[in-house]
Amino acid sequence: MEVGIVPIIPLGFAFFLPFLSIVTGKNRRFTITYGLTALTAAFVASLWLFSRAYSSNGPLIYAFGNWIAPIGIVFEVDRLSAMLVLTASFGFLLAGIYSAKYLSGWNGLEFFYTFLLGLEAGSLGAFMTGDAFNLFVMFEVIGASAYAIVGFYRTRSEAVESAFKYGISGAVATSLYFLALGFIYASFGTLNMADLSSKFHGISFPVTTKLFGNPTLALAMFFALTISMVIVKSAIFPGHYWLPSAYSGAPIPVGAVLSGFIEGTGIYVLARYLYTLFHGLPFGSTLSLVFFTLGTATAFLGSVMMLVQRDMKRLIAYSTILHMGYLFMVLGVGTQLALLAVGFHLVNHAIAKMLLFFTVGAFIYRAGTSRIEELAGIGKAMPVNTFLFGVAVLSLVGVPPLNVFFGKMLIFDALMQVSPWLASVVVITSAIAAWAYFKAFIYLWRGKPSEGHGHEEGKHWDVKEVWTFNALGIVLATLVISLGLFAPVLIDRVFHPAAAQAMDWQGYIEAVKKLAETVLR
Amino acid sequence: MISFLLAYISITLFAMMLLGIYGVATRSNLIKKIIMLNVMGDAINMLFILIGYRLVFPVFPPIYERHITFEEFLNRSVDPVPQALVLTAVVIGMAMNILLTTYAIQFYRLHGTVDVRDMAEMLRGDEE
Repeated sequence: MEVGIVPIIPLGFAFFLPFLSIVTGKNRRFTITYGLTALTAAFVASLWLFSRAYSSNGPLIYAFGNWIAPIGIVFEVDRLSAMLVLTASFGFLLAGIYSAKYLSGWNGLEFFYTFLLGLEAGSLGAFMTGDAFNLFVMFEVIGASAYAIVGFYRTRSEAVESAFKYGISGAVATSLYFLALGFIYASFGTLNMADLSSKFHGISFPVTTKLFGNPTLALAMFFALTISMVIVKSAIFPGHYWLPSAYSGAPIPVGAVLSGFIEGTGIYVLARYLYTLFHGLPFGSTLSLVFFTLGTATAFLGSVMMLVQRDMKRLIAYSTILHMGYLFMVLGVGTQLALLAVGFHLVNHAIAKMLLFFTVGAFIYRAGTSRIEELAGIGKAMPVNTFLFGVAVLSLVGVPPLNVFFGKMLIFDALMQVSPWLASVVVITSAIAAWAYFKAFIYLWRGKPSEGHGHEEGKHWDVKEVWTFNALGIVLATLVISLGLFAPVLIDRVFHPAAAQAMDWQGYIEAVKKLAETVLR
Repeated sequence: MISFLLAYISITLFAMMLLGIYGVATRSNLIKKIIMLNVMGDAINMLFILIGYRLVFPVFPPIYERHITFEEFLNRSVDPVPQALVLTAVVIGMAMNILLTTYAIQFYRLHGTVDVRDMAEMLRGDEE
């Protein structure tokens, strides 16, 4: 098996699903079986990729069509990418199983699975690629699937509006990234990541030419435009406006994968550019200031807005904005500890946030509403689900034995290297978020069922647990607890080697160069 | 002369791009938003193609022919890579257009208008 095949699996399966669905007469069981087969295959492939990336010394290279690096497109997978690919494919598999039950009353399931597989292909590709232009294509693959899947409830006005808003902002953002590629191509004469890095560090690379014009100016423009793309794509402060309505318009499993992985790709891309390719930029301190300012603003905005939300889905959406703010802030630190914190928090936030989405989705599935007041008191009717919801909330707030605590601790440590004031932002915003979660939990558990909802006589909810959702929730809750308990071991064995390898730009360049030299000889 | 023209075209295209972003942000009509997105995207595509242009005369197309020397070909031919990249971006842009237009149609089916402001007014009217 080759490295490059991992994102091709979901893409290939996605391509044939609409045709096969027409041939089989829109059979739901066939669609679900086909979709889950594809997601499982991608998960198994990424397990294989993970073990291979951790057993080899350097990054893994795959050259498409055997065209060597600066001429053709290469995939370059190091441990950080492999780790994120494994988490993402696991999350997409769970979301696929969840959607089979959650959307059982809706038509158009074949298109839902097509776009879910497209999203997976795009995000796995973005994590694995070693080419700046290929990254643009992967962002558009993610984008097209995400704009389509957010508007899945196409008869609901909210879903259509939010999908249009998301679509048009996303399209503008990716166009800006395309312009950024123009600047960097004009100066460096290449779009291969390893080649860009070797030009930046003054190492010779086969085939391509020398620098042209003023590379520092080109890099400044490149970073300005790339950051403005990530601000929209990852919902950082001025560009966060599309996210709450998109999450409340989209089906719950879509919200889970968007929050966990699609927002994370933007952060990952910036980490890749700042920490691997262009480590030690001449204008690095200015960029750090941008990261700290916008990240702090995002974290405060996310946590304060969480307090005033009356809709469960919007509450989670602002919590996502809060965590993206943390990740954006820590990108500005520029040390290996910061990269370790980014990797660890991306993985653990995704798992805890998926658990939160899945448990809230079970309440919404039974109650048919997502307003917190109308959900009041439902917790007592679904105790297992409420317990899982509590685990997710405690983890996201940062209670010690659970996994997100260690992510927040690493972020705190990394920010302490810059200033204690900056690090205190994490503590303050976590406390505000904890209050918001606490209020929501109290409503769900102790609140009185609202009047006029068909429960006047008994004043209690007549609903049952959804065992499919609970099973998935238990898997995720086990992960939340065990990742938390074994966090010191995992950081030592998995996350620290990943961060160390991602900081090693010489190894990153060498791996591609070696391939080019063996082919040329 | 030619460098003046090149600067003139680049500045015009930059202005067009900024105009596109302004239009996407301020227009309330969804179709106008999509048109302005295309204005912006095409300005960026044109800028990208300009990168591959050479400030020499005469410029050759990037196809190697026997009657010119290889050195001359390298120095005088247009860079084909930006054109290939723009081709990819144009195709992606078309897909985005179709998707966004589909949403505009769906919006029209739900609200009977493609203007966000009209829709807000109608919703306010319903509440009163």
